[in-house]
Amino acid sequence: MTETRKDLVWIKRIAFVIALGLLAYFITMTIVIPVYRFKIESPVTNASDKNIFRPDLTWQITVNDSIKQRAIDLVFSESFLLSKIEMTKSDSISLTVNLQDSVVALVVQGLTIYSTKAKTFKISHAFAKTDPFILAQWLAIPFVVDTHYASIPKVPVLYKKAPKDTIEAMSQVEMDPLNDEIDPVYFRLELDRKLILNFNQEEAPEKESMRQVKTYQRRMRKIERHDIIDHLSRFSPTEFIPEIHISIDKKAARVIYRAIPERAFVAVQLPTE
Amino acid sequence: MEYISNLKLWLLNLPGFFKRKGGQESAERTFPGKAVLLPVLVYVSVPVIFYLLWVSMFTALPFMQEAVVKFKPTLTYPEFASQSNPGPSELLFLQENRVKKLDKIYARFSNRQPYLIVNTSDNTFNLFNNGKLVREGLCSTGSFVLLDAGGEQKWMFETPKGMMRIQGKTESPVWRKPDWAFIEEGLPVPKHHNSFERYEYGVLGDYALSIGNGYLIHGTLYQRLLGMPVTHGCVRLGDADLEKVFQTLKVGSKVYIF
Repeated sequence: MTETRKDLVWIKRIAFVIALGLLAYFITMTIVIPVYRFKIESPVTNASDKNIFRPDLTWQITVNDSIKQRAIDLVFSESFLLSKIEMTKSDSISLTVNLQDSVVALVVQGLTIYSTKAKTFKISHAFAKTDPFILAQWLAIPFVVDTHYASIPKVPVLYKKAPKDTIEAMSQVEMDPLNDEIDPVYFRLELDRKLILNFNQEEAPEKESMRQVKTYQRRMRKIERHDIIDHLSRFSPTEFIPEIHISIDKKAARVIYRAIPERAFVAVQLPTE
Repeated sequence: MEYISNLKLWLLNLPGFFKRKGGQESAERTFPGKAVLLPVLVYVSVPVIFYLLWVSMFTALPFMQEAVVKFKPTLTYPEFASQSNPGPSELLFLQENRVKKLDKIYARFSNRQPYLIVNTSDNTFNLFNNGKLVREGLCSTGSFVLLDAGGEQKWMFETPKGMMRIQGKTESPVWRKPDWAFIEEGLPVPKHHNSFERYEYGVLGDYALSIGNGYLIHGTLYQRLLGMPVTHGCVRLGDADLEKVFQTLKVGSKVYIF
């Protein structure tokens, strides 16, 4: 074997080791540590506050499973009601996601102004790995939308330049009313206290709108990728944030996305079984 | 280094390889052979495979995280353990009572007063009285047109969302045209706010209900456009619907627009 061949073998070996090292680093920083560190914590900081929701944790030691299940159902109902009651303090539009009854609704001061059925939903395994009583406590305070992304604009704008005179006004082609019903509706709400709600239209997107779907998905992947690379470059592990995926009617998805204000309140009830 | 020199040789012979004339130069003479092609394949495919792996790892990351979470033991919080220990049936009873009480509290928020719900996405409305739906139908809401008259002069024709209240009710309303109405038609804007040119009769239908900030619920001459987003921000209703809404809602009644 010549010297150059020997060098090449070494280069290959070193490259292989580096690649393996990078892979191990990637897996550790993006999967192992985030999942290990993940913990749903009670949002309550002031333990002496008497108004906070404290589910009776004696249930934890109840041996009878049927009673325990009933207790969990009740605790989740209590938590959801507390969250909704808290939201009535605001006079803006809020969102309630009741996965126990598969209902997504817009509410204002306790009045449901719009509701739709969640056709299907998928929740993170992280919830099943958390004590239901702590989960109920976590859900008893409404979430706030921090960031949102969507495949449609929040406010669809049709630009019109003002005519200079009546002749120009007469010659201006009559603008068609806004019609974006064909546009696919996918949106993502990133909530404070680390929860992500992904809504997608139940209907398969039309052929003409596949490009928009791909663009949205690419955009989402790009955001996630940038976040991961940013963490990895700073030698800090990424964060595991549980997600809920909900499929709803396309029309309803558009209505809900456009209706909720910035920093909207969100109440979530998780299924207990 | 040997590969690179082989590759160089092959690249130099490449034109000859593709421009064979009458079999003068055979493929065998210029074809670089396995010795060069294999490394080329390796050098090209390795980065491609690496890139694909990299991209797929990012894409698969949420699924991988979820898969790992599945194996995580359930978290318990012993520090929250209760001091008291009443029997399970007693606890269940207490818990049920708490939920019932909260249900009652929440039910108090349901509105028994007349109110109107306007859906700006579908351009529909629902009128409620005593908690019952009394009328539903089509309406027209903001067109989302951004009228640009240059400089600071811009108007967005959007219906405001949220909870509003009826602030006033008018029969046979007269429209006092704002500046944008003239600009949109290419007409000069009258200097005075109360100039007679600003007043237009009969265009708002028989009734108008004010919801604040100059926005109205009124009738329309363009009934065929009901169900479409065509207004300058007001809510337009059909004649019969407007009459019912006018009769049902009082000053102070709530209007929910989303």
